[in-house]
Amino acid sequence: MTKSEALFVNEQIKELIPQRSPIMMVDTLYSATETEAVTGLTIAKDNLFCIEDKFTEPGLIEHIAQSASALAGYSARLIGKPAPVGFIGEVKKFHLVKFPSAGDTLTTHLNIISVVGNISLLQAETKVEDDTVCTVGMKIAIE
Amino acid sequence: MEKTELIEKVNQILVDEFEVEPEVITPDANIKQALQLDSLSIVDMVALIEGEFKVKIKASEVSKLTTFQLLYDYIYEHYEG
Amino acid sequence: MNNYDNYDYFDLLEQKVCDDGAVLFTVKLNPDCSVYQGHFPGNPVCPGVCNINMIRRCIEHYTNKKLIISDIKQCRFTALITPIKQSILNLKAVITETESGYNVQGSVFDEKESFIEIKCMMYDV
Repeated sequence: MTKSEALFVNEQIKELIPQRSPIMMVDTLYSATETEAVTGLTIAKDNLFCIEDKFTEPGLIEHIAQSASALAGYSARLIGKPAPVGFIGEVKKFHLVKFPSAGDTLTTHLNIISVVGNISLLQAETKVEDDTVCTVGMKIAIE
Repeated sequence: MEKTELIEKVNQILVDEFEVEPEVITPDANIKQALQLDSLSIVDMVALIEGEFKVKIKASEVSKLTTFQLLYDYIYEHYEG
Repeated sequence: MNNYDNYDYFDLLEQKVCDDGAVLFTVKLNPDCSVYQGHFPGNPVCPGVCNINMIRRCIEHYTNKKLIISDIKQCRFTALITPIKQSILNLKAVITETESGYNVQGSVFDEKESFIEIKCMMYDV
């Protein structure tokens, strides 16, 4: 799917997540259902987490956490509620396959596995084109 | 699957996942205490049960399932197998 | 302490090996770090990922190596950290050498609370 067909792109993402520059790590919400989302990020050379043109582990994890936040924001908007603030409660089984480079576009597939109270457990995989960059399980605590 | 078999399977996967002694799991024991669950790890238990038995435990239901017996009954009731 | 990162997150005040072989780091968070402009505007909260990166930087300092976090088995964030209220933090890490690098089991805490429990694997670049 191209950015033009996406649900929310660039500045519009600010309606979905509370994070702002220099730590906005999602620039596209391609699609979303109640339990799944596809998000994206084109990695700028001056991205906060780029070191020697490599987008590093904290950036990948924050990108996935903000992808979950974007889904929560999108779901809240559907029922007329403001975008909630969420925090990473737990990172589980993060596995780094390789570092993406500045200029690459990340595509992340994320699905919510279970929700209990304000804690949602999700699984996500991030790719550059067809190459897996990392996989992770994560719990997001929504305030 | 017979209920006794289901109970055995539930106990086995909980013992493995939460690394507890099988003896702590008795029908009337409180799940959170027996498995030392906190607000973060409860969702692991729910995900494990949902994945293993293809049941959906609604978020509102979770707080009612305080003992293992209640959990067994809930799964057995909602489990198509 | 900012050898690689584009943002000045913390300073390592002290590092010492404990009797049990674990390494105790004392760090001071920088409340003026640029990350707080966006996390969150008017409400500075330490991003969990920056804390993970801080842990890595401490281990790099101790081992004198550049390390990649290849796997995080588990990292639990049990309480929020803000750079003003919790400016001084302790990191206690059990660092076990492996063929490809290090297994690290660490916890971040101050006198009042425990904030982070982490189990991860790092390898030399």
